[in-house]
Amino acid sequence: MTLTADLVIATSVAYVGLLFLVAFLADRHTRRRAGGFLRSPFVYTLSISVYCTSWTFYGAVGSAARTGLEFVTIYLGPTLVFIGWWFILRRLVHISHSQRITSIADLLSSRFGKSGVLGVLVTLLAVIAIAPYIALQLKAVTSSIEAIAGASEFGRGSLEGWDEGGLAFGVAAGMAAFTILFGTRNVDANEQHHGVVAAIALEAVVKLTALIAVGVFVIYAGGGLEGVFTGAAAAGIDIYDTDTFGDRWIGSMLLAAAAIICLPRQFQVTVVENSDESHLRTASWAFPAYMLAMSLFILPIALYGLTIMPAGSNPDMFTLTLPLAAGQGGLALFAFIGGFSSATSMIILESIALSIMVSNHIVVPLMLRFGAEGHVGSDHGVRRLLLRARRVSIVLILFLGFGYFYLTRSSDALAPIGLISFTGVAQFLPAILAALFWRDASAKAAIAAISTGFLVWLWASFLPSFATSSPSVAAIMAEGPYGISWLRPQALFGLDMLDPLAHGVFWSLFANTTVLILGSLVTRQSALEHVQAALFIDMSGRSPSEPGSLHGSATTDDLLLVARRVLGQQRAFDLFSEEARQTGTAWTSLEPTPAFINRLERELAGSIGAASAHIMLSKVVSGGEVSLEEVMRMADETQQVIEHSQALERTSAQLRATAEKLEAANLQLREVDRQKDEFLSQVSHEVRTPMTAIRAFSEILLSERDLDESSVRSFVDTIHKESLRLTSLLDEILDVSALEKGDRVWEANLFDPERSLDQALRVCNALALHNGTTLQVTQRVDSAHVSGDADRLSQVLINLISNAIKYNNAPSPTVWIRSFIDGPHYCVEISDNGAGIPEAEQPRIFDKFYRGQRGRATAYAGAGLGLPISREILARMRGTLELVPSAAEGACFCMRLPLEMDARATG
Amino acid sequence: MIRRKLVAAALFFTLFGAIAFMPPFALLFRTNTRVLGVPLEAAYIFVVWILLILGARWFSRVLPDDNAAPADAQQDRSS
Repeated sequence: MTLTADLVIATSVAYVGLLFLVAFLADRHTRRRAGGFLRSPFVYTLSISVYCTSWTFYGAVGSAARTGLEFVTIYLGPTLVFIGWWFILRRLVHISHSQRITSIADLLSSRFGKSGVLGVLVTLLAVIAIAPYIALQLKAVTSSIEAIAGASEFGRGSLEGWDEGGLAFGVAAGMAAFTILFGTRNVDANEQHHGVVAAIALEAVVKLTALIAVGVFVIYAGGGLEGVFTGAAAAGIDIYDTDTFGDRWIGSMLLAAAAIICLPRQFQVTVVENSDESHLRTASWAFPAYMLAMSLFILPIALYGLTIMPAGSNPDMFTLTLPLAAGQGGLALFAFIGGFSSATSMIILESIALSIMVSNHIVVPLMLRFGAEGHVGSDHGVRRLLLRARRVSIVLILFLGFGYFYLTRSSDALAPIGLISFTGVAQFLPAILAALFWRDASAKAAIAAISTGFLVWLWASFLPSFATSSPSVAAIMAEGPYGISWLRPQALFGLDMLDPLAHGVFWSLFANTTVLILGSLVTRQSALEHVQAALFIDMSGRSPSEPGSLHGSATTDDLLLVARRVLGQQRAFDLFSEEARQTGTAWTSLEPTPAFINRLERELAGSIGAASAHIMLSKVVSGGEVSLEEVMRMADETQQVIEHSQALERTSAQLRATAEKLEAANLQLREVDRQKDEFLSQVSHEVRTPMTAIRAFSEILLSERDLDESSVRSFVDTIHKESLRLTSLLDEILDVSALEKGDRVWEANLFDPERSLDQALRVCNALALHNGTTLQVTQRVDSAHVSGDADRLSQVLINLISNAIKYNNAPSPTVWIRSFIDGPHYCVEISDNGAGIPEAEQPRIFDKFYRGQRGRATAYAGAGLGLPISREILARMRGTLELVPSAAEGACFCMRLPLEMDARATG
Repeated sequence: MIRRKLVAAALFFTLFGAIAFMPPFALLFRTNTRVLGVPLEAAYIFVVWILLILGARWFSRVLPDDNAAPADAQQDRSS
């Protein structure tokens, strides 16, 4: 079989025709709702393999020939992303389905508060970043046709007179026409293109089969796998020459992992065209397996090509030139079709994805802003405008790619061009990850971050690719702009030890991520952004009332008008009928509820993107973008959360306080328990002394029969006295405990304390006489009124005065008593000229059973309960008893009782 | 295995896959030896790749069904 350029071109056209037929049939098939096979997870997986472009088909071989194993990184990155599908892709697909996301620009715009600016930015940058990638496909197709034409003995055939640039232009034009025919026949609901996906799946099978066929041929021709490798080693080709696992390895693996998420066409096939989330399960292993199969023969083909092809032949074309050189025309044609497949599938899908972004994020917003009412007046106005915008953008995108190809045509390798594109689209990765995982990432920060990353990319990756065709770029590369050497594109800030690829990846992503993080930390989110962020992050949590939706009033007619313009007559009609049926109202009296408006918005978003749908509907729905009530409700929800957390905090504070109180109470209990023990042991001790005496004397009386009368009398007298003491002790103890427990009923009468003092003086006069003590009353109050028990007060005064008498050991003992009114208090002061109370004992004299040194030394030793009882009694009468410093050397007690000012007081 | 552990296992499976492909781990196999003529490092990368695919296949079957998720999506599409 002889290959000529004409034959190759004719075959390509026929192949494209076949693809078109497949797409057409598939579309019809799914329209009849019988899409069974086309919606299988395997077709889905095959469509994802649009990732393997002619870069893989031709470029990977070239890359393997130049840098050994490095080409696999382009497939290892995506392998890891798919194996970890649960963590990123699953969320992405789920969120995009529930939010009707149509593109990567739509995803970011929607997450960051339906920001129109972000949508425009991402779209523009994607178009620029993809240009080199499309150029790569053009270059690959052109080179492959050239390779066949160059090898053909019939010369260039009808290509006579076409140079490389002209050929590439022709290819670009053909592709544009083809893509327009394919992808813009209608504005689909949800932007799903079943026909295109079917064609892409077919192409995936063709390119894989072709590459494997060439691989098998190489293994066969090279004498087995071992033969190929040892042959190459014998020819002096050593794969250990290159630094395989260096910075480039890590850099390109990271890039490829980012690209499988960020490339517009990958987003289109993986996320937008996904019809069932469970398909991702199959793709998680099947797509890596596909890439493995694609990579398996790359190294043998490259090594075999290096071994047998003449020096200087283009390694990118080995896949094609090896069969050609062996005279295998049929295989070469198959290989060409494989390469052509991989290029066309990429170009079709990429330009469809980009054109959707351009029309939804640039054209529609412009149309809405400049109110092209005349345009949208007709029923199909918006739809026609959308289609037209998409067609124009497809042409634009392809010719941007052609422009890049034309400017860089002198550089020869394919793979580096692709990596430039990868670095460009990787700038979306930080924002996408933030959209999925970081609630506080803000739109302003995302815009700044993507712009920053992109500027660095333009400078460090994109610009250097023109170095071969532009002397001024080459000068900037060598010297830096205006001779500023630290701004050299491939050695920013003097970092020149990295490979240029790793250098560009590092600086652009570093700047991008830093700006995103710092920006989000210092800026605030708008209300809508806040709501959208919550929707994206809580992927399983359904929003209770769909916040962020438009609230307000709109007539059904207005809504229907909008819906018909965008969705088309039939779908709009279906949507409204469904609503009418659900609410049970007639078409004519249909009242659009907020829920319905929200549903309509999402439906529209499926066609024109979230931001545009939002703007479009908010024009019709009066009430503003976010109504006051909505803001209030959102504030309410926030408030509720805050209140809830505050309530929790309060409860825990209460618990803590309770625990503290319990602890204090416990401490107090233990203290009281200790006091009780002490009290008991003191009581036992006090009771024991008289009991011992009583027992001893009564034993003597019992055992000694012949005691004389006086001894017996004296013993009985002692027993009697000790019994009295015991009784009075027990009385006092009972008194103390009753007072402390406070369960005795107290009479609270108004009385004149002076009468109690009189009574106490009468009782104590006898004792004073007996002791030879002088009682001197120095001052008296005429009359006063206090509330309490008069007898008890006498008891206190008797106790105090008798103490002063009993413990006074001065040569001429004197006790001074005076009563007076001190402000609201009635006071009685009792002082003596005795030894006084040593300072060390003063704090303890009111303790139960405490007797000072002096007390113990005298014959009148009491139980040490007098003062505690007195104090307790006064306390019950709201009074106090204190030891106060006195002028003389002795002790001075002062008791105070509050005066009753009541006029009824009569004494 | 409970759901949480399975998900954690899937995460670590992916992370270890990444580590296996990267230096310094991959450098262990950069010795000048050949297996059936194929350099050891190339053979290593492909073997790990195959193991990852097999592992992913297992995980794709055992990872829990996100019941709420597909239901939501279904409802969204039909609405």
